[in-house]
Amino acid sequence: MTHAPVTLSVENITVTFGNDVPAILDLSLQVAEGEFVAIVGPSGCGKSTLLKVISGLLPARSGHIRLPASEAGHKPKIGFMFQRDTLLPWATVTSNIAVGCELSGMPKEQHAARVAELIALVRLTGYENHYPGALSGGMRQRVSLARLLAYDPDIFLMDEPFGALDYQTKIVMGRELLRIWEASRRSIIFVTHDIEEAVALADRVIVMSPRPGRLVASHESLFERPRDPRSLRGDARFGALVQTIWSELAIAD
Amino acid sequence: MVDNVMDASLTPAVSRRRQGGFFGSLFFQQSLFLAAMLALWEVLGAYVFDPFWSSRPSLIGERLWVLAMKGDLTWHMSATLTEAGLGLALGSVVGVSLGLLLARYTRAARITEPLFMGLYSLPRVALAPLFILWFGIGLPAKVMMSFSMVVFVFVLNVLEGVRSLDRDPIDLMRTMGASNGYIVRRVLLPAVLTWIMASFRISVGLALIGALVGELIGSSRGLGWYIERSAGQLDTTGVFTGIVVLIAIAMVANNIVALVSNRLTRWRA
Repeated sequence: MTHAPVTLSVENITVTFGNDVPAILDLSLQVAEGEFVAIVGPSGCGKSTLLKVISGLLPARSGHIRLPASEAGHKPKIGFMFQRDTLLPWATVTSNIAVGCELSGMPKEQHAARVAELIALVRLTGYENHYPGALSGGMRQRVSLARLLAYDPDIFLMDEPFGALDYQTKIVMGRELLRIWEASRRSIIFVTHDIEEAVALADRVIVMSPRPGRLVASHESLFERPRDPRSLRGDARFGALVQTIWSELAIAD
Repeated sequence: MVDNVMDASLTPAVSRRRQGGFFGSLFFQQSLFLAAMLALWEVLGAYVFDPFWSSRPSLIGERLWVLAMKGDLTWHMSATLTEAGLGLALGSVVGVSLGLLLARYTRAARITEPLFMGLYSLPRVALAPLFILWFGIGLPAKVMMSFSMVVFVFVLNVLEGVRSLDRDPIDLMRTMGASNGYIVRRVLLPAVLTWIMASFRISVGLALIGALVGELIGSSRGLGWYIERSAGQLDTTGVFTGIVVLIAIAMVANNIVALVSNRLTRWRA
């Protein structure tokens, strides 16, 4: 399936809850087609709020979100992934992934083949008829990821998708995400509080500060694609960039 | 494969369990307990108490046989089962619909909830004389009695089921452009189904109580009528026979509901 060039443009967004300090103040951000952008920041800096505004779940007080129309003038499809897996407990792995196909507008007769393909892609072969309750946290997030891919979104919004997983599983899931993303190259906004994860995965790392949520820095990645996040961690430039972002967060605080 | 079987049979734990087999099974021990209680009752009824007060299992068994042969058993059982069954069916359909409606119109739910809670707390026996007055001593009065016992269970459970829905999957589907119909079919109905099945589990017994109360107060047929008439003739064996049949019906009905419920909510296992 071909995708028209999609760039996401966030223009001067301000979000307030009640009369408090704005959760997000005058934030602007451009995401190029196929770009992997990570947003880091301490909790309460409004990074999750930003994703909700982009997806339309929350209204902004002022500013615009521009999502150029994708092919055939359709509204571009936004795929959201939460930290919690949000799977349907009464549906099997197959049926949960099929939700993505059903909502993507794909012809019904293609669903079964696509779901089977995705189950292989996220390495869940053999678990097709399991219910989420019988799966580990990492496996549940793989199902979530497969559901997201089944929807075939133009933009992926990922809100700490691996935040609830243990360290090893998180690393593995990050590598899987890169493997899958490198094959399809959609735009991703990946929110995390883990600086190393952001540097290892993204093309660009954006640093946000809390109260009010603002953009304080933006770093282009120094690393080539395809990359293996695990071997990056030994690289001196990797450590230096992580240090820089650390200090920016400390200043912002 | 053959090697595995040989190995397994040699393991002490497995062979002990195999020996324990039937006699160690819960079913056997339950049956044994029941048989012991019946034997105790029989002995006490024969040698200690006058069977006029407590009857005896052998007399009850004999009565059951006679009633079954004469066709009286099916005559009374079918009446009670029809009353309870129709009441339960009507109560579940009306209760689920009403519960979904109230969940949809939250303001209406908050206005009407005190009344529903009040009716739910009311001992429904108090309505029996009214139903006899309105519907006579035939089938409709008993069905209404059963209905009044179960309908609020469904209303309140369905309402609670919708209220306890997990919002996150719904938000997620909304960002993916899901229609209301899709969310109802994929999220709301499966979530509420577990609450409906729980309501059925509670309601089977309540529906029987409704039918029985209706029969005790005014009827010409049914297990309640049979118990009432036997008591009037100081026929303790007749009373106990009616009770035994009711216990059997309740147990079978409960097991059927549990079986269906487990099949429909297999994901919980």
